[in-house]
Amino acid sequence: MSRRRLQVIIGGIIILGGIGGLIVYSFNQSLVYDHSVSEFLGDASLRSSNCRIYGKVKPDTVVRAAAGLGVTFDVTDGRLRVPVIYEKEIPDTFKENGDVVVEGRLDSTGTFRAHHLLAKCPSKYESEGMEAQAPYNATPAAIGS
Amino acid sequence: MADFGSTCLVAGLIASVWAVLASWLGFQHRSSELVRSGERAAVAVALLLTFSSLALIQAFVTDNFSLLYVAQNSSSSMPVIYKVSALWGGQAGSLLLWVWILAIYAAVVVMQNRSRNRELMPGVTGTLMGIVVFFVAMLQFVSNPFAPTGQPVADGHGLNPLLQNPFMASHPPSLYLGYVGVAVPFAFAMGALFSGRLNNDWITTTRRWSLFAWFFLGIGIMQGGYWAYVELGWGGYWAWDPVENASLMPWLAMTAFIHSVMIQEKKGMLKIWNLLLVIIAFCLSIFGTFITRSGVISSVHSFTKSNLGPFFAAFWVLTMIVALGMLAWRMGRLRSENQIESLLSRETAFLLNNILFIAICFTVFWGTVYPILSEAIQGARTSVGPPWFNQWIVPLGLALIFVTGVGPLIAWRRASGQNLRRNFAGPLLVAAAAAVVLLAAGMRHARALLAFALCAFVLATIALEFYRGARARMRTAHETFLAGLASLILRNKRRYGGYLVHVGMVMIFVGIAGSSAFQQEQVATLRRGESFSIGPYQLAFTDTSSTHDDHKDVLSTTLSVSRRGEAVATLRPEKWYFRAADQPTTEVAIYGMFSWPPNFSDDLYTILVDNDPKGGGYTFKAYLNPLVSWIWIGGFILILGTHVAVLPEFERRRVTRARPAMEARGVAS
Repeated sequence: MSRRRLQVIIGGIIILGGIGGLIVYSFNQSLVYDHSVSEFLGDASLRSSNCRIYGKVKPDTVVRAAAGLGVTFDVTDGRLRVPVIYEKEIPDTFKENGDVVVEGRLDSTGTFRAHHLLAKCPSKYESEGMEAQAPYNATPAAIGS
Repeated sequence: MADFGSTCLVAGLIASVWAVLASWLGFQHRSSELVRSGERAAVAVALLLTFSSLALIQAFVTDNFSLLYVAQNSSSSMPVIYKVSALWGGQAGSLLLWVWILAIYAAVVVMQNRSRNRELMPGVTGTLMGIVVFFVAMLQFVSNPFAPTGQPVADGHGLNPLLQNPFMASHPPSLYLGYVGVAVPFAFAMGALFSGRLNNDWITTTRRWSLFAWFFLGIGIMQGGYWAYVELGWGGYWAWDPVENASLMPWLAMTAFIHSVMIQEKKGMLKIWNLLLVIIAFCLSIFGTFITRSGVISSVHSFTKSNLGPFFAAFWVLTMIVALGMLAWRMGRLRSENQIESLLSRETAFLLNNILFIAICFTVFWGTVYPILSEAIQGARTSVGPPWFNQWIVPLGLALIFVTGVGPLIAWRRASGQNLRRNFAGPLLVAAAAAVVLLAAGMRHARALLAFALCAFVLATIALEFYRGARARMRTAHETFLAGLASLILRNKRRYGGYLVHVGMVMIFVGIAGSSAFQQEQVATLRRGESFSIGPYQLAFTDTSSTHDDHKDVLSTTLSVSRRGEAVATLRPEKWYFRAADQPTTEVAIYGMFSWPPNFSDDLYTILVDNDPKGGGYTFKAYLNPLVSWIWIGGFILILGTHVAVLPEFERRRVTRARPAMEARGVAS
């Protein structure tokens, strides 16, 4: 193996490794963990920070603002619940008993102020792998940002 | 008919197993009779799977709800076209479509190579049929589209209304044509490794197949983006969603492959790398199929519960082990015939192009797979948003545009100062001028400025190439400039088709830069007669109407759009309420390139968010998306360029025949 070839290979490895390392490092910096409602309520350190909660929209708690700009509801994991207020357009897929992910933080009154709301419609086809049926359902359609 | 389809599936399984065995034994015992038998079996598999697929389509069209899969994905009231497209609305049908396409490809490959590449063929047939065996076995034993419903059903569930859209109907088949197409160059790579015939045959034979797969992946991605844009109502076309990423990754790997095989053909370098790339591309295409069809994205738990997931994972790992193992086994015979002599050379530019594509691919892969792995291992659900992807993909993409400009013009082996000045002084000036003009026009967005300047640079290098080529034709063949340009393209289709593809990509980049850097949005709740504005546009809410048809109620609103006081368009954003589904859908209205008169500079994108029946207020959201239409136009140019690049032989024959006449004319003039 010639010197030149060795240089090219080592250079390539350094470049690729460097880029790869940076990508992985920055990834860990911007990774957001999703918490269930119980996890969220059980961990006091989460109270004051921006985080994501997933759960279901509790039936009979949904109050929509008159012209579609905003909604209040409780997100629940079946045991506990957190009241949520979201003040932007409600995605079409948002509905009672539907899966929902909210991103935001808790305010002083104990209400979760969401700035992102992602709604998935509950599976109406196969009981498992709903996204396999309609992958796009749970995705951009439902991002109200 | 359903029984017939089911029987054909079983027969297809048997025939494909035989094809693998016969190819293997035929190679071992050097029996061309056995190899031929395997190939005939491959053709039979294509026929059997065609019958099977047609039987399932027939079940959809005739509303045969005694099949569970039909009952789950169709309903009697759907239009026929969506009944057919419901074939790929779910898991089992998608897998059937996948393997049907693969079987047809395999049959075409067999026909094409009846008297060519005979050494490679046992490995090729064996590989393709091995993949078929896996998919048909999945269909037969795990996810059978012909499974009965059990109890009688009056009507099916119907297809999700969001999927009842022409683009959504055509988007999965395009993607599958691409995903599956990657299997062909992969199979030839395996054939080369298997037989030890490691020259460039496997690459030259599959050049068109690679372009074909790459092309349909690209078209599928574009269709998906366009569908998301016009249908989903969030104002964008790409969200770094795992399903989107799954289709982007094999495209990126194939793009790298298509570029780096040129280096192997020209210089005999990067042999191992090319084999590695095609293995990566194929694994990513299986991964893409798997990720969209196993439910792994919604939750790892559904993946482990889902019966398909573990088999797919096992197949994936097995494929990788076998392919990489064969590569390692032949490594010693894959010597590079040349070396990189200088950092300033076309070889380096191509290498850099490959590094960038792989880096982008890795970024997308990591961002897609990590959340899945983390949930599987730590049990914690995580996500990483578009900002993280953009943070990495944007700089890598910008570097890629730069290399797009440099690569085709820089000299092979070692670029002299003169070569660099001659080729790049002009384009760099153009880029600088573009940046100055945009700065003077008030643009202060650094990344967008850089993107536009680099795009101008690439366009200038391409224009320079066309200009020089046409000038040369004017001198040597005494043609007019335009005739020179045309014959230049026709004589070097691969090269100039490639340039056209680059032009298309640059336009796509311009569209992405413009729409992501300068998007504006506005929300307003209005009563009839009121108006709001966004950018240069005034939107007056003038009217509402509601209509009904058999399936849905439609609430339609009318917005009269004027630009700086001058009426330009009328938009009708709507809300549809399907009676079968308990959720509304938002129908977007856009003033853009498909309006009349067309608007290419900025899409005005409007949705009706909701209305308040009591108070009479209607809430609208409007997005201003500058240059979005450039993305779709770039897509058309990409299609055109690819067509130019893949048709050389037919044209070359024509040109050779026409040449004496042309030369005679040349002499006469």
